[in-house]
Amino acid sequence: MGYSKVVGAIEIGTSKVAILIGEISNDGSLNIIGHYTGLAKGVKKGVIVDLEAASACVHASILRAENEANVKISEVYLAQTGTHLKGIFNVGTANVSGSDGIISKSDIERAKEDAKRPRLPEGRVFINHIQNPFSIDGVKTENPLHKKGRRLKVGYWTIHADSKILQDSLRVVRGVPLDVEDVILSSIASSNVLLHENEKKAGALVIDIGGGTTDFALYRDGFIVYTGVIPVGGDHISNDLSMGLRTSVEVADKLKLREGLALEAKKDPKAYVWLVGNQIIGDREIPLISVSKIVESRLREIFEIIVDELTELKLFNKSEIGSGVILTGGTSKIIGIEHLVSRVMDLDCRLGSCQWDISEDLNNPEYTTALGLLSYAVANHDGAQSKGGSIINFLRGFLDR
Amino acid sequence: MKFDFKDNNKSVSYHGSHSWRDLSEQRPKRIVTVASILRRIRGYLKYIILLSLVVGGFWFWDAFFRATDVTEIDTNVSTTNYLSKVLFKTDGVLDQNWLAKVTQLNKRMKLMDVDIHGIKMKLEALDQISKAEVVRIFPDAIQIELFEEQPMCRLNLKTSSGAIEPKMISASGVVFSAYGYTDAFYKDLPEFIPYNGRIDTAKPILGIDRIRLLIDGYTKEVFKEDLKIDQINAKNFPAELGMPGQVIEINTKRIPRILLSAYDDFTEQINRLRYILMRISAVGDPEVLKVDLSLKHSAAVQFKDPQIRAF
Repeated sequence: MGYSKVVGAIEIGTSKVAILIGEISNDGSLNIIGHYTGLAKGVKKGVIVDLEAASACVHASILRAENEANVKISEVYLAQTGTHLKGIFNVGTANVSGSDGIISKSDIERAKEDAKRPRLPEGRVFINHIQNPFSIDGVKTENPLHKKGRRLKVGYWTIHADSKILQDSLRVVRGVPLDVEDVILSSIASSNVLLHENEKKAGALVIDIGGGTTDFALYRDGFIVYTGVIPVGGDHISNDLSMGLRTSVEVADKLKLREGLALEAKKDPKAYVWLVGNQIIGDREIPLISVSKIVESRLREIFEIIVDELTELKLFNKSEIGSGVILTGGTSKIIGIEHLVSRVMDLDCRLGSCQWDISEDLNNPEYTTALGLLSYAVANHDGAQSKGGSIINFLRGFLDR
Repeated sequence: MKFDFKDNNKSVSYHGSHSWRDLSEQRPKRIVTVASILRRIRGYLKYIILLSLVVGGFWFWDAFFRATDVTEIDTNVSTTNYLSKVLFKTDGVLDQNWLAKVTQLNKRMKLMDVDIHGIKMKLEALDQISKAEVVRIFPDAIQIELFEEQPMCRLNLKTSSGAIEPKMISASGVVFSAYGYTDAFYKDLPEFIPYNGRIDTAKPILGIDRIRLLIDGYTKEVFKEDLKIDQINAKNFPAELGMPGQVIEINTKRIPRILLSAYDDFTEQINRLRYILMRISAVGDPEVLKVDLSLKHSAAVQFKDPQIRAF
């Protein structure tokens, strides 16, 4: 424990800031030692619009999490969302250099480098680079090393971001000050903790419905083939409810999760429900069907946009999404949402749950993305720091506590 | 909690040209927040708190001894300082001349020789004063603030020698010698006739709360001048709860006797009186001797002319 590495995971969402602090031990296991969720300010649709307000809430949340963990972190993994994130599919090719046609390490590296040829316009930067299967003379293979062929191809789903918007997120975190070790798309991070390897191989669509945006990632044959962000989230449903029912957004937000897509509304169109729920002065009864209709129409709209986007790219092939749809994010708590997804997409659907044995308070959609970030931190951890184990590092860590 | 997933995922990190990592090379101005400052000083916080405690402790110790010094200095000053003025405030009618006679304060006195507690006791022993506050204002003044009893009615108190001594009764039932009030003011107050014609001036008058309520309720009504209370008669009001037939009588110029039930709702009884006056006025204002409002849900009116039996 003395030489383990401590990292943080930060997700700055539209409605909340989630912080996790994990301790990665020498053997690569992760121990979560601190967590905190605070209300986000200065963020709209996943994009920071007020740097000072966002910094204040992010810094305060980090401080709270650090107090719980009783450590001072120095490096973090940061989640990204927002419609400024786009993806492109790059294909890199390399002719096999050996006269015997056996693919060597250098052939693979050349194919990979070819796929990284910069093709970005001004003001855009790459953030993630997701490798897809290799193909040797048109035949898919996972590991081409030492195999025989003439032409090697490799595809990459590459995500790029608006540099100014990303710079703002980095400024908020660096203001603490903290080093950002990596930036990872929210949907990629979330899916990493929600899916088993065999589910990824069978194909899956992970949908993360946040406050201001909905992120999704499509897996096929174990690889991410597409990611997308829609600028509609749970806050839009709450806004519609508040306008439709003439109440505050806070009340509408609670009503959404409490009654959302209640099945009683279908069974009994005359059913009524209390607006606030405390049945004191100011509370009133409203038709359940009106709540259900508003929530359903907005959710249906979100899912239809995803289907349209995937269909347009010829990626919405139900037979290749064998594991179905996995939902996460705060809005996935709406009761009955999985049935609606099944109806709209004609796919099996389940609510996402962390694949690891973790405590109840962490196995919550609010922490899914941050947990995913920590899983990447573990993957990137090479134990160098622990091997070094210098007295200076030890003392620095001790003093930071 | 611990869980292991070292080989669970493939890296998605981007290293190469046009990477987001290039953004870190630019160094825009850092955003500093309260939390970030707190985070930075957190390590030193316990030392800051310790230092604050030491400084605070020293300040307290210093202040304590300094306060002692100040007291001594003030004492020294006051022993040589003579009283030069008396600042006087009251919510009633008493004035500086009266105060000078009672307190005997003068400019030959040293400030610290003035017995402010004694003056306070002396003033509060007077019936007209409900509370007195006496403080020294350094270096050379005394401030006296009085809270006086507010008169509600007058009392012609018979002394043992048979002489009549004018007194006032306050809203809290205190009987006091009315110093500083004019004759006109005194005569304008309703005269109070006590139970059995006797009164113990050492104690507050029994049932004064009901009498105050009645006077307040009656005077709020806009009755004509000839219906103004001349006397408030409590000769049949022993103020004993539960005893039946307790009546308070109002005497006015126009109606010599108006009887009200002492422990029933005065508002209702006064409303009834207003209605009766309206009906009397409608039949030409015959002269009335007595109106009895103390009856349950009814009233009796006695006219001077015995021929009038109903109206």
